[in-house]
Amino acid sequence: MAAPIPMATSEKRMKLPVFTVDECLNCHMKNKRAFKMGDYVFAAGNPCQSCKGNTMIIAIFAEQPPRR
Amino acid sequence: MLGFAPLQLVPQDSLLSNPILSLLLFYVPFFIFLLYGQRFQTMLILNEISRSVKKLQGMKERSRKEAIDYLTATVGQSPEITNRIDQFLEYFTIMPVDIDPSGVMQKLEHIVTLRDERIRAEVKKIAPAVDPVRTSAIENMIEVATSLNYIYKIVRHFYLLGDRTKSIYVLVQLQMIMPLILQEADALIGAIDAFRQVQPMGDGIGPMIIGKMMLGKEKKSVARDTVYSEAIMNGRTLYLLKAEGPGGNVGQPGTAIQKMIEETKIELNTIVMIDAALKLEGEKSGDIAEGIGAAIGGIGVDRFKIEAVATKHNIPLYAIVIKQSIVEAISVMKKEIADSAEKVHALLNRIIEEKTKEGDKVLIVGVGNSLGVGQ
Repeated sequence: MAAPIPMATSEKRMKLPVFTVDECLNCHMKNKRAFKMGDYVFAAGNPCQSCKGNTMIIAIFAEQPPRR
Repeated sequence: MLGFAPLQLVPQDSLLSNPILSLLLFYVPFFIFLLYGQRFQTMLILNEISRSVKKLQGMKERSRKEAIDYLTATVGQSPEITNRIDQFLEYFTIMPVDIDPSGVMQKLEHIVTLRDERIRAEVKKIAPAVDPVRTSAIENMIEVATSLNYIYKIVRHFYLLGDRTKSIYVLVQLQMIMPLILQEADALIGAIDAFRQVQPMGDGIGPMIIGKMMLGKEKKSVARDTVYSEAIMNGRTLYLLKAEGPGGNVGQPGTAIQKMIEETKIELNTIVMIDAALKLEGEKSGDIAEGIGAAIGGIGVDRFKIEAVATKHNIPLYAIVIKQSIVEAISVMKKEIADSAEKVHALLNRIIEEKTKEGDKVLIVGVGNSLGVGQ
């Protein structure tokens, strides 16, 4: 990681839910689901919900749940 | 003529008009604070630092427990595990002497490589039949536990030194940097979750961008934990380099680039490096910026090698960085950072289009930890 200058933040780490995004290799439909052990980016994902085709994991990220 | 009324703060019949009472309420505290003010301040600072030291101790113990639990879950119950982890926590590296800076980089590389190999060999001894992904997770978790142990011991040393000497100057310095130390420790604790579950970290954005471009192409090993692929784009030959995933590796990009240019004799025209960069306060996470130079952090060995070989062969170095905080860089990747991948691809295409011509050979390096990122 490149560090231009030392920095200081008062940022606190929060435990956020982690999601996996599968993209269908046929219809390119994206599906966001909860992360499960064994998932990694560019691995095979769950079958497509639309065309039952093969999917690939294109992203795994932590996201702040929407505020109610 | 108007008469001048003197300013009277205390009415004549007030309790404070009593000289003994005013001595007790004003002069005595004044002299107490004058003589012992610093002592009171020292006590307050000691109290504040003591709370932070306890917090660090908790973090250190948690990271040790997480490493032991992960190893036990991976290789089964063994009394040897706890002993080995405890030995690792005290593991140290003596950096080379730099009074005579000539050749210090080679010495530094030698020491750092030796340390990495030693940790790897020890982990292999404890967990011989474990797959490479989990082996790298164990290595990373041990490194986190060792770092937190070291931070805790240094902070405790200065806290106890300040307490023993009652030196406000020692304590104030510690108090001033304590928020930064706690933040760093908190980021390290956050990394444990990512390592345990093999989830990509913010620092993995560079490998994630290159990993996508490497899909379906042959991967060749070029240095320890470092792979590259070839691709053709708009008449240019692209060499795509990243640390091998999905294990938590950073690879050896410096050695890899040096080998590709000087041993494999690839006549590169341009090098583009993609890396995470620490954002400044006020900057948004996931913002991207374009620049010049070797975008790579670490101890400096890789940057030195890349700069040296690029200068020797007169190869321009372009850099794309994705802004994030230190906490985000070593915690599970945030959505805004993952979303920046598309923008980086667009910028990369523009750089290739504008800065190179057909027939050129372009090396694109995704710098960072490949944890949870395949290729």
